[in-house]
Amino acid sequence: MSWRPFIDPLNVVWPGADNWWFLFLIPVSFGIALAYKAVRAKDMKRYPQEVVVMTGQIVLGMILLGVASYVFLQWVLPLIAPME
Amino acid sequence: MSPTPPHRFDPLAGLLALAFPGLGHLYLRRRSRAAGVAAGVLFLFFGGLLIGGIDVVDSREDRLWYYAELGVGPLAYATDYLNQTRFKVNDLGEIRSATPDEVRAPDGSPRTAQPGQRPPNVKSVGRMNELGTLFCTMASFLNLIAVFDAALREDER
Repeated sequence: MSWRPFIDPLNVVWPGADNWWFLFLIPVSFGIALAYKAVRAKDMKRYPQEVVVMTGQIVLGMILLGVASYVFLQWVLPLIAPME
Repeated sequence: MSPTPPHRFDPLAGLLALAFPGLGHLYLRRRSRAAGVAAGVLFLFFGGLLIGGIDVVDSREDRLWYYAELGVGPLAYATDYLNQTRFKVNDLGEIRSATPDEVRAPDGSPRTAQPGQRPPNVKSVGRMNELGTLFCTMASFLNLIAVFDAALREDER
């Protein structure tokens, strides 16, 4: 079945897209940084650099949150409430 | 610490920013900021449609998410209008997405698809629907930040 962009979901043309959901963190972070820094950047001459830095900060922050959640669920929670 | 510049309330700039992403800043002659806002918001909104299809903007089946997406402005309303009137089928008064073995008749009613025919759109489910909705909702929230920034502008920036 041919894919109709903006009408059909992406997994029509890329059936495995659901398994690579985490990669979409990069474009969503980039889009957020693009719009947010356009409003909040003090000097628009430094706008491109600030967008790149904020994109990296969001991606890194989400990875760290993921690691923290994993550690909490796999290590901390079993110590607090051990399962028999 | 430098004192905060005074703010001026500019409702027209706010309304223009809500009418189309970046238009409020363009009206304030902040062209580079307008371009940045438009690029970011439109990238997220159309990125969401590209990932999840038109089904991610749906006032009937995902009403709360649709309200969250309305911050993009008339663009979100128009997308939903297209979805409801050009892609959904009217099944004896019930407006719903076509199933994979249905097509949309010219009067909007569902018909069984013949070989080679396909539904008006493929309904997005699972991760693609979640991601597409997230992209469009983030576009909306960021445009609302731009609306407030345009309406409550600082005198010197």
